[in-house]
Amino acid sequence: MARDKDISTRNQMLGIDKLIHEPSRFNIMALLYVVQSADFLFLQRQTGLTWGNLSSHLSKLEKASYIAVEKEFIGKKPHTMLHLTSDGRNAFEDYRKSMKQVLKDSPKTE
Amino acid sequence: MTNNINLKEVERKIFASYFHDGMWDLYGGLVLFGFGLTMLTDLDYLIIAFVAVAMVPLLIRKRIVIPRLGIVKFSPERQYKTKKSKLAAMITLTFTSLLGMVFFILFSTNTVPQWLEIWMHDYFLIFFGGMISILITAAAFLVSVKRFYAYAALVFIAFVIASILRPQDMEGIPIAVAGSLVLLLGTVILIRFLRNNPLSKEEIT
Repeated sequence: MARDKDISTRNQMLGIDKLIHEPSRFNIMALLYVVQSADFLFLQRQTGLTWGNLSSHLSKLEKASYIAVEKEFIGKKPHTMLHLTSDGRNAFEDYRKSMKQVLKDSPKTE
Repeated sequence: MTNNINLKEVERKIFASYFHDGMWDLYGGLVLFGFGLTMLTDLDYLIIAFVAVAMVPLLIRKRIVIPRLGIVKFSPERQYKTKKSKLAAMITLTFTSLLGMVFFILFSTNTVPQWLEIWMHDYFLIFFGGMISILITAAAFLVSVKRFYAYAALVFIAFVIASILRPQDMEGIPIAVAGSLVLLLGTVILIRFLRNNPLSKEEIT
């Protein structure tokens, strides 16, 4: 428990968003960052995550307002598309900057 | 900078992944094979039949690909690029068709200058193959699919060999062979695509 708190404090110090730092969620965010919007199946195929796993990650990202769900009709069928919100886009850009800075500032080991 | 390049690469790969279903290969292979077969048999209607059949993979492509890969709307920059590419393809096709019409009128009215007639007789197949190769190379560049470059080279080589074999009346063989190769590869890619991307069991709404 104390160790988790240490890690969380360290991440905060480094300015790393823990929500995006998780590899699967980073993958989802990166995919949605480069496109306008995509559906669930697309994300499932591109990330290789299971249905349940992807749903769980998407819920977390939606709860943080990083992604938004929009319902639209394709032909006569309703379809759910997902896209990054401006908050999500900014958070992803900040995360990238932070990671770049962390790597840049890391001491070199011989 | 590295991050920017990597994200661009991610976007490029996503875009290219929508062309790894083998349908365009089947279309190209069928047209090429039909063209070669028409040259071999001198049955002009064969090419029309093959082009008509070749349209089938393109018409059902969306029904095969979308339920397996999902729907993605690309960024406005990519959409703009795609629109520009389509416009360029339309202009090229219109120009090529006009050129074809001019030649058709010249030949049908027997008003072709002699030098052009000799040149066309000797180098027409190489010229035609070259034109198709340029179109395929442009398509390969626009959709970032590397195997299309190989197809462009294959088509050009096939037409050069066809030009060499023309005096023996065997010019259709290398073109039909090239068409068969593309067709075979397209079939393999399609089977692999269907195997790797089965229909999702979950109801997607």
